[in-house]
Amino acid sequence: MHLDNENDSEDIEVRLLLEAIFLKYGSDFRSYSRLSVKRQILKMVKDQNLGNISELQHKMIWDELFFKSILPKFSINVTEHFRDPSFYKAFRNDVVPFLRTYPSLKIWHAGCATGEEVYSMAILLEEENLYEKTQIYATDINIKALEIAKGGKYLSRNLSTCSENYLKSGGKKSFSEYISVQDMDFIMDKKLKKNILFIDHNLAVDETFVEAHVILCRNVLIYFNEVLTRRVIKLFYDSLQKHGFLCMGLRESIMRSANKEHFKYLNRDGKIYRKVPSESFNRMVK
Amino acid sequence: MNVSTSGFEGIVIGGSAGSISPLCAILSALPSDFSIPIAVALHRSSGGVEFHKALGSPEMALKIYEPNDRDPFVAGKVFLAPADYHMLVDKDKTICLSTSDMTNYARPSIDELFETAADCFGKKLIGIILSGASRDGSDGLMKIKAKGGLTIVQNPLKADGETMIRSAMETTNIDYLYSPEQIGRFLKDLDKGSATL
Ligand SMILES: C[S@@+](CC[C@H](N)C(=O)[O-])C[C@H]1O[C@@H](n2cnc3c(N)ncnc32)[C@H](O)[C@@H]1O
Repeated sequence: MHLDNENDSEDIEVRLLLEAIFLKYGSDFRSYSRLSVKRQILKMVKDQNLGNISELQHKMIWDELFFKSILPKFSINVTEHFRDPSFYKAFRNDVVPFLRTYPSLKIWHAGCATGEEVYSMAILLEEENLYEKTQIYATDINIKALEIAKGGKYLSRNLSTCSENYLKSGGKKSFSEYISVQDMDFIMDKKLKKNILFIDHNLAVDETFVEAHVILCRNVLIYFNEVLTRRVIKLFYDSLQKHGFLCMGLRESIMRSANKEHFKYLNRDGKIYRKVPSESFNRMVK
Repeated sequence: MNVSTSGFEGIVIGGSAGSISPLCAILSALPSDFSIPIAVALHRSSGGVEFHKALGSPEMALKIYEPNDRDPFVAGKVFLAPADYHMLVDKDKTICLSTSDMTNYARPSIDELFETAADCFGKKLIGIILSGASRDGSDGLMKIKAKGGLTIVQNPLKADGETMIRSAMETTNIDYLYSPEQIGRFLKDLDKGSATL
């Protein structure tokens, strides 16, 4: 096949680099959104004062220490407590009433990064008297991020944003009631950690492990390509209870044609979907 | 699909402090059937409500739209980068959003939009820099020019913030230096096939 775009040389370099990384180290970024990955790679080239992507590839393949040092730059872990307060508000209003009707709950945070989203949800559940009956599974492929999530220790300088977001999200108390401050850090209350399991799980290869009432996968699929996205949506469908809820990032719509009969909107602006039970999903992913 | 007779397939606009009113002036000149897709990246630290009020003015025939990831980049509405996301244009002419690190201390960053759009549209792209106190957008505009696209900046003498415009003028040999009203008229005429380049 011949690509007729002017700058396909760069795209070829990107593809070769991803292939090389996979062959040499096993880290697989080949099914990530090509453009996002390319932007990250171009930033590395610039930061390292290299001339082009091929030079970066040479360095990565021959210098394992260099590769290890730069690997984290491939993943985007940006997150915060009560990120998008309007989402949490929508969740409180529209999802919580349904959750009250179940005797016990399972919630899966897929791509939880450093855990802020998980603790935010735990606080919300606590305030709605749902926490005690809930088991939370929080997963990511980034082991370092998971370690931080488990520790539940964050930088105090972000506290004002946390509190602000918490209040905007409809919080009923004060964010400070859920933490203890130690100099530069604050630590999430032990009570909140009790029902949370942090697990290493790769959305690209691992299978379903839970039948959840709610799955949150916010700001993860924007980094995947179309094929991987379809795999993950199918995985979520299979991992949800009959009328389970799926919460995506505020700029992620899954309502493209293929999914329309399998999910419906519960809250459009909050990007909260509800599973529509059906037999035909297997047909669709073919 | 509706392809503009002008031969241009995309317009990207970048602005920072003081860019809302020139942006409104430009967009107000365009009719609802304007056929070139438009993407805008603004630094929006100034915040939400005001911003939307200003941009939702009734004189504008084209609606402002904050896209979802992977929306097709098409004419008929103005794609505005959502707060806190970089907005990129992929080669298949879809929008790609990202929350990666800030570029030039900004997210959305103008360079991220301009550089990816340049890769996508080559010489069929118009890049426009408006008022601002940063140097974001200069690299992007340079890339647009390098790929043969058309470059326009707001006349710095009448802009609230000159820095961003002057910075772009230093790095790129700009094609047109216009007031916002002139930019609006120029784009409208261009699309109708009655502008002379
Ligand atoms: C931008 S963060 C989203 C954090 C949080 N959900 C939020 O919205 O604030 C994206 C996360 O997805 C994770 N991720 C990327 N690829 C993954 C994969 N294949 N399986 C599981 N997690 C993945 C990254 O490690 C990162 O922590």
